[in-house]
Amino acid sequence: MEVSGGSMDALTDDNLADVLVRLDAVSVLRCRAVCKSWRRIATDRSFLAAHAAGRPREMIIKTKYGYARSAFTFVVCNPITRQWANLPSPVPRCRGACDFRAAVACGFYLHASSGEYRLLLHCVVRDWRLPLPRRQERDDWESRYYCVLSVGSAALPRRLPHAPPTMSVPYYDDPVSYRGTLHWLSGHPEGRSTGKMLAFDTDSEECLETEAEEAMMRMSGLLELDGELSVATIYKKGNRTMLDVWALEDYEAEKWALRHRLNVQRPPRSASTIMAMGNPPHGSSSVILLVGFPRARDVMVYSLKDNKNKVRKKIDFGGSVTCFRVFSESLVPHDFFDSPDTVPLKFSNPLFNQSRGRGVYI
Amino acid sequence: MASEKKVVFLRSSDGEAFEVSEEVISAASVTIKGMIDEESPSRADTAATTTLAIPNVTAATLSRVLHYVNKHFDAAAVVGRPDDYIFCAPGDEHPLARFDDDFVDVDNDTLIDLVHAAEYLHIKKLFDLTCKAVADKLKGRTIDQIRETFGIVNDYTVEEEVEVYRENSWAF
Repeated sequence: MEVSGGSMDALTDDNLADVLVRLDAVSVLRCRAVCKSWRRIATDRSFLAAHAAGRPREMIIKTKYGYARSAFTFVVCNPITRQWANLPSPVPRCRGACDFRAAVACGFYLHASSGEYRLLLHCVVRDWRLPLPRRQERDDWESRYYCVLSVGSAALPRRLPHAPPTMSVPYYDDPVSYRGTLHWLSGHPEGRSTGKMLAFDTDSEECLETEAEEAMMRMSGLLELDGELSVATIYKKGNRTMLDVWALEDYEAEKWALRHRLNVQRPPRSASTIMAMGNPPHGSSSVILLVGFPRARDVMVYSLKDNKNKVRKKIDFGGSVTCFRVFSESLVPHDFFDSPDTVPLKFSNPLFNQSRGRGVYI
Repeated sequence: MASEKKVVFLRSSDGEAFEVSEEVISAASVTIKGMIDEESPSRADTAATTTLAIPNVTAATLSRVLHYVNKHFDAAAVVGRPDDYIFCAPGDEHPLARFDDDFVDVDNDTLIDLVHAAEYLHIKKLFDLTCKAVADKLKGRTIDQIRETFGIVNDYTVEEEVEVYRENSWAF
């Protein structure tokens, strides 16, 4: 499309916005430098909201565990605008008597009624004030609790009344957000003791449990597919490997229904969980399911549309993939990014270049 | 009984008339469907064909638009899969993708005329296609090249321009 001739100056401002809204985010940032009127259009809040809403869903992979940048400092960032903000420290003040052992990020969410973005953490604290013999007997010398940090707020971390069960090394899968509630399937401490899914209502900030079929608790991944909370599970049947997709058909009654059954030609790995992602284009039904295995370097693409039930494609990332998720670019501004006391973050980190950033996405 | 397809005539701003199937153009253009619906009570019993004036679109542009409309909205001519081809597996190409690419491979003036015509006639798919084609002309260009292509005079002061670059220096 290198035909030249004629100029584009006949384009009205409205049409220019229609053009820019179809550009990728980095090109929009560049176009702000063209002239003042382009900058005005490309920084307008409603334009930015429309732009973010229209960006396609993309896949992001994470090749290392964790969000923490130092031991207990959490950062929220938008890799597209390269803006970031520090979250308040989750470490309580206990003057050396306590040993803050862990702060594991469970989920990040918008608290709708306050408009605040918040991070749910699972914290583990050891209390050295207890005499040694009692520490071994007592469960509570190591206390565990959920707490919530608000981005852009000076408020101290807030402990939630519901405490996680005993578990020395907490680990959480990336949650799936559905109907304003975050869901973890099996990759959470409570799953081991209750056999249920963990859910967290992002408005009331209460933990809930959701019934799941027993078969779903291993070799499974949670995803949203065609507007339903779904579970993809891989299992052996005779000498065949099957991939089932179940959907929570009736959310209130916790009733599951089988949506897809594929005969996949790949033996499951010895991993405890799979990661699945459906493609969610607006208004059309999903045709592709991506399934990855923790620490594997490739992701399988299965077609849900035809009945051939075969691997359509294998994507090799050339490195161990621990997580992938869907996101879309957004240039929508957030006030908390303007906070002056943020510690510089090195965006030259190769991780940012490889996987288009890591961190907590909005 | 021979089924007779209803046609309408569209008259461009420079007076040329184009024949198009009423069904096809109604499916494509919200604006023309509105015009036809307004006309219909008065012509229900007459055999006379309708001529609609399209005062904002020249013959050259209108004939291109109708070429696109006949390709995309004539159910008999459209083959293969439905429109949601965003997630076609790699290697699968939408049958009209090549046509679309060629269709917008035109000079800038023609492309802008098509943007305006698609907007006026309210043909969403064509508007998406042509706006995307203009957007593609911005990609990978330097700021100076963009200014030249769009006939824009840089109205920033040196200080302002430095500041704009500094804000997102990594993007340049």
